[in-house]
Amino acid sequence: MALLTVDGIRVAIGSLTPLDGVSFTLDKGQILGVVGESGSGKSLTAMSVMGLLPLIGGRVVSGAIRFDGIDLVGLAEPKYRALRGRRIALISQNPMTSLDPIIRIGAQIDQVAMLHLGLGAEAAKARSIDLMCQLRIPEAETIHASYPHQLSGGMKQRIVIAMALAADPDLIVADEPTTALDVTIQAQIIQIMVDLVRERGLALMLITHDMGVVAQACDRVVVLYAGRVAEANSVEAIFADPQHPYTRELIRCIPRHGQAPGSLKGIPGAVPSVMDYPQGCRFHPRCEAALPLCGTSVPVFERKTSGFAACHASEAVHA
Amino acid sequence: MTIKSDLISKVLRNPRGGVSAVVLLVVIICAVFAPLIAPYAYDVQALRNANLDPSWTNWMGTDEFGRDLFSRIIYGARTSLSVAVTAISISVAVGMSIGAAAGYFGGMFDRVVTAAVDLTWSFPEILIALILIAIIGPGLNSTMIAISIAYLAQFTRLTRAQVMALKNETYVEATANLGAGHTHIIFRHLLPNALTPVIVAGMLATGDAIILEATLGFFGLGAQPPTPSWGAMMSSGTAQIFIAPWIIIFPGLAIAITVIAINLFGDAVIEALDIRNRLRDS
Amino acid sequence: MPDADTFVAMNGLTREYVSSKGLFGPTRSMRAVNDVSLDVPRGKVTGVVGESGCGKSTLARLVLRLIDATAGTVMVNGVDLGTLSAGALRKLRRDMQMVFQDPYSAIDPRYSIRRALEEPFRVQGVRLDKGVIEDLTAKVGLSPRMIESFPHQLSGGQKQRVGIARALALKPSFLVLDEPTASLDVSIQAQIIGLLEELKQDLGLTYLFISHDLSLVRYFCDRIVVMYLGRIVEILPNARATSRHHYSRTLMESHFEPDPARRKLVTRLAGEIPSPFNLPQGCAFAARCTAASELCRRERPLLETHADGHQVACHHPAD
Repeated sequence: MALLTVDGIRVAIGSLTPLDGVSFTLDKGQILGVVGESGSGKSLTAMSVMGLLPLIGGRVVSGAIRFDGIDLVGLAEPKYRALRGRRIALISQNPMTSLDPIIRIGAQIDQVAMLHLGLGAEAAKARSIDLMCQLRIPEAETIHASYPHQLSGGMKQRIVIAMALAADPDLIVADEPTTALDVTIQAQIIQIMVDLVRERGLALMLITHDMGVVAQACDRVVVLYAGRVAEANSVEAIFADPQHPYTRELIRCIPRHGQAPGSLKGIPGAVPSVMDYPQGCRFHPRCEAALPLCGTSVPVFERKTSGFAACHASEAVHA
Repeated sequence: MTIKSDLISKVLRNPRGGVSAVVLLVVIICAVFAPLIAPYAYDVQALRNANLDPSWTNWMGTDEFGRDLFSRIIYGARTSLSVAVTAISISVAVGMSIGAAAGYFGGMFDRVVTAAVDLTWSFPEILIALILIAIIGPGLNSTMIAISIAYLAQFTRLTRAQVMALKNETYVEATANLGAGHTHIIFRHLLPNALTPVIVAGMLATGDAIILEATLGFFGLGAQPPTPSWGAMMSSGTAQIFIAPWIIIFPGLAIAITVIAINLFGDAVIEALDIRNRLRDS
Repeated sequence: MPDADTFVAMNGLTREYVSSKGLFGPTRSMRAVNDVSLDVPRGKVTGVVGESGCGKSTLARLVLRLIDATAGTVMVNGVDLGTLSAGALRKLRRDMQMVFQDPYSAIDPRYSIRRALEEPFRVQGVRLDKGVIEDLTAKVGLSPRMIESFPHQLSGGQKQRVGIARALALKPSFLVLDEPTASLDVSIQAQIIGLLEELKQDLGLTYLFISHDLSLVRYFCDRIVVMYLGRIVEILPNARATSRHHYSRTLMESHFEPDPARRKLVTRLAGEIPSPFNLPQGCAFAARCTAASELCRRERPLLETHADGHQVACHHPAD
């Protein structure tokens, strides 16, 4: 039984359905990469798991989200609040908005442990400093007493990770945690997160648009396109033998070391808006492997020769 | 332009916007076509008919000189609107020029402008207008000048804030990189983009300016007799308040209805344009 | 010595910013670009790479004289930009244009695409022949239907194509590309890079390509300039050269390849990026460098030319 199971969720905001049948599972000690370009629905997937959809007027209309045996769809807000921060933690893209500018760093981390674990002020502080040392934050005592504006972006993101870890959660949802950071800082943060998962047996749902980060950090990958899952597989297989043309093209969009000039070509067109999703497979207008069938019938997400994908052009395997 | 017609339909479909637009249209028609609409001349006195009750012949009664109140209110719309609109137009034009120059060029000029704006900002408009009239003397023209100067700070400040924000947009840098001079950048890019919130603020200020004009008229500092002005009419009505209360009530209603309509209409426009933040941030 | 093959020659280019705390507070100064000398060869792509705060965007603006230099010169085609009259500089702008990072704000929202593309001709007083706008949009791969649209009706990629068309309108020979794909999705980024390659071939353009993305720079550029805290630390003569400066190496090691078989072991950089207001006396990278010696902390290394024209500013360059 997986720690987190997302089973065919559809999410509606008003009359729009930006997420339409997204499924995946995530085990302890595993890093799942949720990949897609803007408009693919990856942040909405994170919000669905976090139970934050009501904030933007959205709701899960069908499908199920199960976390450690608890059904999260339709869970009452007080019960959700007890899970959020305690057992499921969120790391968001912009560390600046996750930290309160007028409260000292230390107090913000302590607060999480005091609230969720019922620790006293002294114990919470000792725990926070211990946690900061584990995240290789230099001079943890000094930083514990400083304010957010005194720290660099990379350091702030480490503090946000420390806050996420403060209540000892089982699952961390990280929504583009390194997109706003410089590459050398990104490399450190990704390494820290990978180490945490390995050392503590956490489950990490890593949402990103960066195939490099996916290749570096993830165990399993789910590729989203226009609100649906295009493909899911282990990280090795998805790079070695992608089943969905979108995955294949997405990998090809990133220039490799030593790639010949003029050979980079991108994917024609753009991700469709939720207002006018095409009929059939939503990728078919941009797909070079498209069949006549693709414009009329929605491909089923099914087992392929390698992993799972939703594509008419790729042969299914019936077990 | 589809954007403009879209805006108009959005404003008019809003109930407050639609009703206030009709009211404003009526007031404007009264002001423009006063001689055609008013049943009597505004300045014909007939002391025999002084302080008559409202009746079929004099819908709103007559004042202490026997002049038809309804006709005077119609002509009064002309005075109120023309003073307020002219004064605010001057104020917007001058404020935009000063504000745009200060926001764009910065430096010493900007510091002087900001200091002056902050200084006047700390006094109520009525006080500024009273001081100015004390210097230049009463009358309709002085009222106009006083009102336009009293509101100058508001438009200067708003335009300056808009321009300061807009000049950091990439398209400004991109246009400079094409070799465009300051004039081109200010008149082709900055002012057109800054215009909308300033125009809306101007519209709302017109309502305030009508009240200010009426206040000055009430104190006898604005329009001089026999020119009808809602404020002056109320002032003369105070003496008759127990004998002929309508002399003070009807001009008061005219002011209230016009100003409320302007404010509601302005709110509807702000809502339709979704620019509340841009107005507040300055 | 600038020769005929050099389009732009920068010499000792410096831009200083002074900030004061309050009206009577102490003033602090920082050099966003510090004593940069660089030749941009004609018909080639020169890439400038570095993390935020390294001065690459300031350099782009100094080259085009969108901001004034505190010290140093920029020679374009042998003409010193600093000695030109306003009118002559204006005329020279026809020959050197820029593509901006943020396509979303690079076009006046009140301008139709046609009007935005006509503006270069208006500003420069160049006669606008019939069909020129149509040719321009065709050249950058925009459909003629879009000529009458407004920016808000276009996608990010389409807006960037408009930005490129605008830069090309007056037939320049030199383009500064300031992170032209940084705010676009990868599938669109690859399209735009492909378009820029094509245009360079067809029109014989010279590019100065500013980026934080090493894989893009390595793919796209003939020569790579690495900047750190306002200075050039290394110039790689070609995209295949192995970097010898320890900062450039860190940058390369921090970049994740889209290939799970080539995962990297991230060696953590010690220390933080120093404040540009308070740079150390010696090498700016010394505090984070594993090879740093006493000499590095005392004396700033100068940019020295090694074999193949490979330039490195390091006391202990790697092999």
